[in-house]
Amino acid sequence: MPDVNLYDDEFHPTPWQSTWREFKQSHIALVGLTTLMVFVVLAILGPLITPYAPDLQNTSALILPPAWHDNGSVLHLLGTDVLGRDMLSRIFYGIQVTFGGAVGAVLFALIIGTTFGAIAGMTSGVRSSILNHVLDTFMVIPSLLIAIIIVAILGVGLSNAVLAIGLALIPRFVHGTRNFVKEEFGKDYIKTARLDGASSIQIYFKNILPNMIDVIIVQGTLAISVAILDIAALGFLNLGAQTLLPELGVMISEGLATAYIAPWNILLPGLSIFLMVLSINVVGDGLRSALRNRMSQ
Amino acid sequence: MLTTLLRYFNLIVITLFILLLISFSLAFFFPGEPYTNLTGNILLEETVGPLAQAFREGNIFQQFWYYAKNLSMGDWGVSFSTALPLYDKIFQTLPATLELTFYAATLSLFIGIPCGMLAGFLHHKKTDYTFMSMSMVMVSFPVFWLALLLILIFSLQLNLLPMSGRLSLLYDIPETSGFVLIDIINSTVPYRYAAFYDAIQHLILPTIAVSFITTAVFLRTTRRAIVDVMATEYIKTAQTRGLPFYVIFSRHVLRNAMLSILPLFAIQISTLVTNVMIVETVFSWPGIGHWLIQAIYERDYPAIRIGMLLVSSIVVFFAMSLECISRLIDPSRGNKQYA
Repeated sequence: MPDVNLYDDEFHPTPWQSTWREFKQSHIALVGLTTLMVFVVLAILGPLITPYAPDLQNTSALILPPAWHDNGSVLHLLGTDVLGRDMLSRIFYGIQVTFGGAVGAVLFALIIGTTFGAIAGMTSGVRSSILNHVLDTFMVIPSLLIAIIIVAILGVGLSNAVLAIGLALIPRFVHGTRNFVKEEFGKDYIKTARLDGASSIQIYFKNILPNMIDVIIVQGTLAISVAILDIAALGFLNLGAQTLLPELGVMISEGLATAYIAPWNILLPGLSIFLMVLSINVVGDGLRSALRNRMSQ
Repeated sequence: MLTTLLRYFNLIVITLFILLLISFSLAFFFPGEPYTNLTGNILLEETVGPLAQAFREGNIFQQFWYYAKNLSMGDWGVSFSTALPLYDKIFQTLPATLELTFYAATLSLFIGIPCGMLAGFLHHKKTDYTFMSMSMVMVSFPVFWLALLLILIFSLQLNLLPMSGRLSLLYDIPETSGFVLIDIINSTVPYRYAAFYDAIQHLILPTIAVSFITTAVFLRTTRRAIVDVMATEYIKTAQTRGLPFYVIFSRHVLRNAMLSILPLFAIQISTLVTNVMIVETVFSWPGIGHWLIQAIYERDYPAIRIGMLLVSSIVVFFAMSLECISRLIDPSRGNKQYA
């Protein structure tokens, strides 16, 4: 029997559903998403499943190689470092510290950056000119320099490193938001809303923000990967997290002393940073092309 | 064209002024006396000079004016740790950084752009996917870890290349320009061929470490630009007219793609400089990044202030010049609303 009730049956996917449909077309993106999920779970549940405390020193097993090595032991799956601390536990804790710090920095940058970007996009004249000049100046200062300055003012520590990286990330959100808002404000549906008597703030929250949210999410995902790399780099340079904290960059710089006899102490933390960043980049890229494909349909 | 030049000149001047203002205000944010942070000297009753006078009077506009004046006259203060003038130290370290940045950027351009073009023309083919996944992997490398891996593999395991420094201590090359390769070529010492070979060997690993990530970024940018241009109507028109591929490529694709690539490269400069500074630290390359990170360990505030000012000024200058050039060759790009 032919379907008479055409209009009721027709399925209209929400924007998120159609994005997901495009996203899962790409197998690599799905693998990346799974890996990322594993890292997120490890970052949240890590302390519950680690066999040892991250700073527990086992003096009878110093510089033990990983379990697959001839001299390795199953008790320490990824070996131990020069103080006899279990690498597996330290890496799980390190993922929590590095990943959590990166997410914190990105959230901070995202909130401030989109606010400033919206203001910069909606204003015009002298105020906009001054704002844009200052923001453009901050955009060109290399992020490591901003971090060095923050550290010089506030001293070292993970929270200061997160603050510095958050500050360094703000311009990229401002830039994206500013251009988007500016472009959107010239469109007809905004003019219609204006004619209806909506104020700029109402237009921003009711009309522009819903359209902008997926752009922000893609940018935020890619910014997390940058933030992870920067936090680890600051930890490595001894400008971020300090020795006692199991941060992945700090672990690499501690492993340097024994790099020749125990290369796994710098290979494994680096590998986990690499995999974390890679999975985030793959997901961000997949999301971006999914959105592009959705828009082009 | 003149207005564009003037506008960008104006933009550079304003940005440099803001940077100068930031560097001046840093002296007040850093712990300690602002005068000491600006000059490296302690403000005493008998200290002479207009800047010291301005600080005794407490007039902040005069302080800023004389600070800017001192900077322009080459009086950049002295370092806390060595008590030597910062001006000399900066011009010792800066060429090393510029040298490394230049080689790394050149290498990335010569590998990244052709590969990106190839990937762009073979859009959604196997080559394209290979290049894209390779660049995705390359972008994800933490630069310090990559540098350490290179040292572990090529210096410690294979014993092929030196792991730190610019030149072996065996060679004594008189420093004239500060760029080690130029210095060696210009010098008259009998062992200069051996020294040149040694300098090249020292350069290989840091250059690879820096350009690894930049190459991947350039590859992705170029590919995107080519794909966008290839999808346009005028390319299809050119193809229907039966123009041979090399004509379409050189006349339409290359020029239009370059227009969108150039401003994106301008944004990359600051990332490039950050990577250079980290790699310098790992390889003990005697450049400005290595020096600045040492300065932060020693809480050498005058050095941090001047280093920040100089490095960001150079980045601003290059980034804005690139943008200006891209505007000059493409006047159709939308005018910047401000500036």
